[in-house]
Amino acid sequence: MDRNISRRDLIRVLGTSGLAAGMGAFLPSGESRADPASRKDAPAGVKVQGPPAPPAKLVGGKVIQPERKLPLLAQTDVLVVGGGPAGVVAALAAKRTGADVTLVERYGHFGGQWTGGLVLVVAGMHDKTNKQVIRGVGEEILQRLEKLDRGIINRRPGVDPTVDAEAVKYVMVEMLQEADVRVFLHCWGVDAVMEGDTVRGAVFESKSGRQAILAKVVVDATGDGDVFAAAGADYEHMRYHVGLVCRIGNLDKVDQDKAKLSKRPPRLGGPTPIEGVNWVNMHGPTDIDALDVVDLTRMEIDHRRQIWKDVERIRKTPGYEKVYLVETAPQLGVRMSRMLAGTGRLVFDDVMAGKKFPDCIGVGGDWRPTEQRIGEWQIPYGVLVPQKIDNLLATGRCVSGEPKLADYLRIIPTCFVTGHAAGCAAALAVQDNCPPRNVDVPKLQKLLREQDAYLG
Amino acid sequence: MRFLGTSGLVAGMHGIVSADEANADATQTAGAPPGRESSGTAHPPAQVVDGEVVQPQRELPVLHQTDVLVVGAGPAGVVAALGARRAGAKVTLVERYGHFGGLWSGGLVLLVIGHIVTGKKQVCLGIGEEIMRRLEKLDRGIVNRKPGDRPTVDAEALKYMMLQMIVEDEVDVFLHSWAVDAVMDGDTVKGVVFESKSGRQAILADQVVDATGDGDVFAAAGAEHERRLYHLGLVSRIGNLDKVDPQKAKLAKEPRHLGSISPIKGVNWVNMHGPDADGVDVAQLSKLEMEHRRQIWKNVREVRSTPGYEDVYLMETAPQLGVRITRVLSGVENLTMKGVLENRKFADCVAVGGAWSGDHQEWQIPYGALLPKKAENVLAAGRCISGEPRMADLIRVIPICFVTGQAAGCAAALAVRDGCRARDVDVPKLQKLLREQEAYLG
Repeated sequence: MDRNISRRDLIRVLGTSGLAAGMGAFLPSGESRADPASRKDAPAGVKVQGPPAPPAKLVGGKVIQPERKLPLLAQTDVLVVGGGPAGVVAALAAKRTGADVTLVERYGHFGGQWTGGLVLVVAGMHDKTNKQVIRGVGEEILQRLEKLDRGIINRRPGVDPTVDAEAVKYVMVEMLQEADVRVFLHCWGVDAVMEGDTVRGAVFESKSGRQAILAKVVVDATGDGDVFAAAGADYEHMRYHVGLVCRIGNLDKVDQDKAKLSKRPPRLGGPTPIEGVNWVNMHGPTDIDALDVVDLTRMEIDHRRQIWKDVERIRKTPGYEKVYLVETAPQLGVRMSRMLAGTGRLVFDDVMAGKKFPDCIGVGGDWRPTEQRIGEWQIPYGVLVPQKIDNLLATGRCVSGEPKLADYLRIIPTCFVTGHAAGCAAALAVQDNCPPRNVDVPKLQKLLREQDAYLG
Repeated sequence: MRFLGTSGLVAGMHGIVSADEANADATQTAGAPPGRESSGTAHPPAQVVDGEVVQPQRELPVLHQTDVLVVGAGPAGVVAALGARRAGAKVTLVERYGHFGGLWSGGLVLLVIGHIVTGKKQVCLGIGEEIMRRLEKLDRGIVNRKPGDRPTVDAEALKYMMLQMIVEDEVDVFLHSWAVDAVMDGDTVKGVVFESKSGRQAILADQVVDATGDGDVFAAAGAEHERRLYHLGLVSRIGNLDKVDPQKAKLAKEPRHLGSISPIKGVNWVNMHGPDADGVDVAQLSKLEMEHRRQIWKNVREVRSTPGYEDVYLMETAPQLGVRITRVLSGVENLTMKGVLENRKFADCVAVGGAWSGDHQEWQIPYGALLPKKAENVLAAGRCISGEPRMADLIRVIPICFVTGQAAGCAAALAVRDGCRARDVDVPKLQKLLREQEAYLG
């Protein structure tokens, strides 16, 4: 079927779909000369002279940052710093409780390590009886993923599901926009704003420069406790293993006849909702300081090289030649760094014994095979609350607990439930005009149950 | 290995998963190392004073000192770092994300255009060409490398190859570090301030190359520039295009948004034009990230609802938002379209550019386009060099990042070597050095 070559065909042939409008550079062959790529309606700019703010100065060999007033980016009731699983859930919960909420995230996507770090598996949703112990906003996210084709797999009783990162990022944007949460992406929390021992907000860096957001209550969902550390809260600083997760593809194109003849290559990982695409975890070396930029850099470099080597080894195995590296996670696999010293602190023996707390605001499960699992365990409100800093709550992996509990505190379900609790508590503190440490816990528990949380 | 411990520590470092292939993240908690207690702030925080937020004066720790500091590890920055290193300088490269390649990899630009002129002659050579040549050695690293072709890279291969080259040349690196301010002594740039998980710190340097794309460093240093709007998109990759059922597909109209090929069979990259926006306004960046994410999801849904295309899926949205132009230096010289059309030659030509479709003549870039009018010892490289608005599409492309990066890196190294300001570098000497590094200068 003949048809005139359309501009769209030409663009596809030249492989630059939509790179610029009004170009004049794409012409059918036969024209003698073309115009250089030039957007004729390119907007003129605004001239800028002088720095946006007085810069740092080198004085007597020292670098001095000047005192200056910081512009306000926003003012809000509840400021949630960090858009990972804990932060997103906290933001939604606080908004639904009636607060004005602002959520700020360093990267361009939501989901934190769950998506950007390619964690993907929601490990630890069930206890030894196979009961699903997380509900509320976290469960709601999973239910929304089920509605998308290839959003989530393994949604069976007692089984930890695996998500598709792109689906999660999309669902989270939808939910935040539906809830009308104010959001800033590409915005990195770098300092707290204080008045004595009371947090008044946080300071952010972005392409707009250094700005502050003032808030009545701040929820630290950074994972690393960056805000509570800047605010002067006490904490424990852990060194832990840091890896880098990746995805590999074309596992559905493995030539099984050839593959039968050799040993199965290592590092094939586990399934994702996309057929033929696996996620491949990496333990990484232990004892890494995830707050040390030198360590982080070294991990990124070493791990990227190791991943490449691992994939090359797979591809050299007969039958596996088509396997390829889909993606290295844009977020380095940091698992634990700071742990708050809270008014409450989870202790390993209590968790193993399933100790009950009167101020229980969430319940956790176990990621191990059913026969090895412990029973559901309770999380008391105090693990979110700093000992002496006011108007600040921690959530996610950096809540207060023994280092031995790292693998129970950092998992996605615990981020969901502590996020839910922190968001509701922050909103209640605003509503009742009291510091978060004085929030009426039975009131908080009632609110959480109304929002479908499971409290044991 | 001079970098802070890479290859010496690589062997035996990895804690690689044991032979039973446990992929799950379970570890034995009993062995978790105890934490170290910390109390008090590392530094005094911002305060509310009379209803305003005040950042206190304080001394910032110096993380590192170097000859040439390259800020931004995109195509311009990586090439600048390698050029400077090979010219003999001690070089430190700092990058906001965890990967090298900037928008070329993290933004999924992938396609290389603008390095070819009439007659299929390639005019962007030097280190950029070296990167592409080395990618050819990786299986599925790059496609379309015949003379006159416009190649497409694989992002993972590129990130890996750039890392190899940086490590081989012993460039010091800091990743996950965001440049937030310049360190000044009068009008002279003495270094840059970074935020990272280690807090706010400075790196001091004799010469700084601003390869941030947005001119973050020269703007902080007070250099005159223009702040412009440009269309801002978000690129993605889709997969399973090799599983399209041709019988079913024949019966329906071909869906839109199928994009273009990549080195991986069945995987396409899909561009997005996007609306004009201010790429250094955090509110606009946030809004567009979310809008574009929803639009991409919608587009892929549309593809998948086309008969035959049901298996197509969204593989990846680019981790870096598709910002194309923001701040542009007002340099000692300013590139104009008139100059391109008139074939203008510069005595201080330090780089040469080509054509998007290889269908017009080469054009020259003078050293002055990299130099601020007043700020000392900072050079622009990449899309933020000095050019009029109409020049944006010629300047912002990957090959120009290569060649201006190499020019800036070499100039910075020469300035260190000769103990002079960047603007006083001996240009014939610079041109000779660039030619020795296989740059093409016309």
